[in-house]
Amino acid sequence: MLHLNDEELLADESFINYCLGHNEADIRKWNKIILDNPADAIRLDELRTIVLLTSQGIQNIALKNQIAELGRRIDLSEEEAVATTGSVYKSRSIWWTLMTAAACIVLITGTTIFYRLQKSTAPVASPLSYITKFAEKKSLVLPDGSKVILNAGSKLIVDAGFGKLDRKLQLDGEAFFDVVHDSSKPFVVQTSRMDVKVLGTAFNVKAYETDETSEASLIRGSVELSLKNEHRKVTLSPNEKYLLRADKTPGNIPAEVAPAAHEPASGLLPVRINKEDTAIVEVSWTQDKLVFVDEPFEELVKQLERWYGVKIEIADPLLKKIQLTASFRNEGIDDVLAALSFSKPFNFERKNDVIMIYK
Amino acid sequence: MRNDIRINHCWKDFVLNESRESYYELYKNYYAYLCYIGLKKGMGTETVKDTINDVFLYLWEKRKTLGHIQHPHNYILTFFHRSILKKIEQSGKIQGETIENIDEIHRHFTEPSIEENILDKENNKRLSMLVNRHLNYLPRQQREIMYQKFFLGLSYAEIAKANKLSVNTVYNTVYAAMQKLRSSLPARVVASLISACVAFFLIFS
Repeated sequence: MLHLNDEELLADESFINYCLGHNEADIRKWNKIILDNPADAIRLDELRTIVLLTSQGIQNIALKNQIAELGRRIDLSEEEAVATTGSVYKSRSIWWTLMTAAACIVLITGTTIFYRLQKSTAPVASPLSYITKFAEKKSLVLPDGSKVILNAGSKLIVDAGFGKLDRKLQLDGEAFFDVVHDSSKPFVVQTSRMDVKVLGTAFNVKAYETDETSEASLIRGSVELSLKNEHRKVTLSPNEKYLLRADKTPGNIPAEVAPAAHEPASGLLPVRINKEDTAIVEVSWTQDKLVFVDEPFEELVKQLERWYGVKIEIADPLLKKIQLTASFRNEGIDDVLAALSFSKPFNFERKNDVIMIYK
Repeated sequence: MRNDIRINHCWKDFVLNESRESYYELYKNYYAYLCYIGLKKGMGTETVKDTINDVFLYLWEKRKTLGHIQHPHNYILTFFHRSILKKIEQSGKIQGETIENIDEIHRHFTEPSIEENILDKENNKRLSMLVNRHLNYLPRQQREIMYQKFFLGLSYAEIAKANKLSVNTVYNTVYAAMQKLRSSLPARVVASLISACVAFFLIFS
């Protein structure tokens, strides 16, 4: 009899090599073991099946994720290509050439002087983009030394010329910014519904194009928001946030999805404080903590999908509106859902690759 | 050399017809192989994955200018080699482990082995679903480790290096994942095999 249990065999380097047919010596070794231990033959064959299914399954998952990532990068590069070809001019007169040459000289002199004055911030030559997949976060340092933490499922584009005259970024998703102070070059984060302009400060922007609300929270310093639809500006003070709800024409709202009375409308709000550790809820994700305070279930589910890279559906419309408060750190999705269902009873079940939530 | 014909066919369809499907087919053909090469050269997991996507993104962007390429396999391989050399120079680390039988390995990763028909058995389809469900819920890094162990067949030491973890951590991760997987599967996996065996004993004893 073999003195290894199933788990030990399934993690055994030599056994895995034998199953995958990777190593002549291991193949010979295990063929002999099987001959010598006929009582174990069935068990070993079963375990080999498990190893092979794991091999195939994990390959499919890896490819699916990588191809999704590649697809996103292709889409992004094509968006950029369209944006740059838009500015290409076609006809050229001699004047135009001369003007361009003159402009170049001015630009070169200008940049040389500029560069001597300010050696620390070299401008970015072409747009840089940073993308995070679901269940992934990235920390980056911008050319001016400002720090950014990019939350899951987000896209940040650093404009060409960042650091030259101003510091412009485009964001779809959520990011925390700690900006190096430089009053001569405003730092601007552009999102689909609002722009956030700052001088030097720490703040969080959450603006997923797919979410119903966008928000900017200020931790220190001061920022100015430009709301695109309302054409007006709002200034935030520390520990304040601005919540922006997507526009909806009143006639179009089906009764069941109309915002409930207790949901705050667009406007200035204080940031939320976690009662357990007095941390600010809006930026707790930067510490790998998942915190919800009176969050409607359907919004919470969107965050879980991004955080864990899973698909979740709420089958019961009544459940979508219930509000939940909880905080998690390093827990698996199953444990999170189990804990949530403990406070407000619901059931959940995995169907294929989707987690279904129902009464 | 059946595989070469398939690759050349995909390449033509990709370059001439700008077929995204054939392009992804090429990608599927090369991902494991290039991963294996990069990791064997001592690069980290994320760097390898990024480099592969850089190479393929470049191919997609330049698809209109690739008509003259006669040997797509050599082109992709050389291109990838150059990219990783650049990355290795940048990081200052030189650990050029030479890989033997490089073509043999490619065949290993791309040509369907006899084992692939284990999915044909009705019984294994159900099992495969259970296994996939389990794998789908592994966190990102664990998934990466499982891929390197169970598909690429790298050693625990190699995986530890690629992910900057200790060999013990990698082993424990695989052990825990397999333990959880095993316990989520029915106690006897291949029921039909057992009954076949019982029959065998009844007849011959």
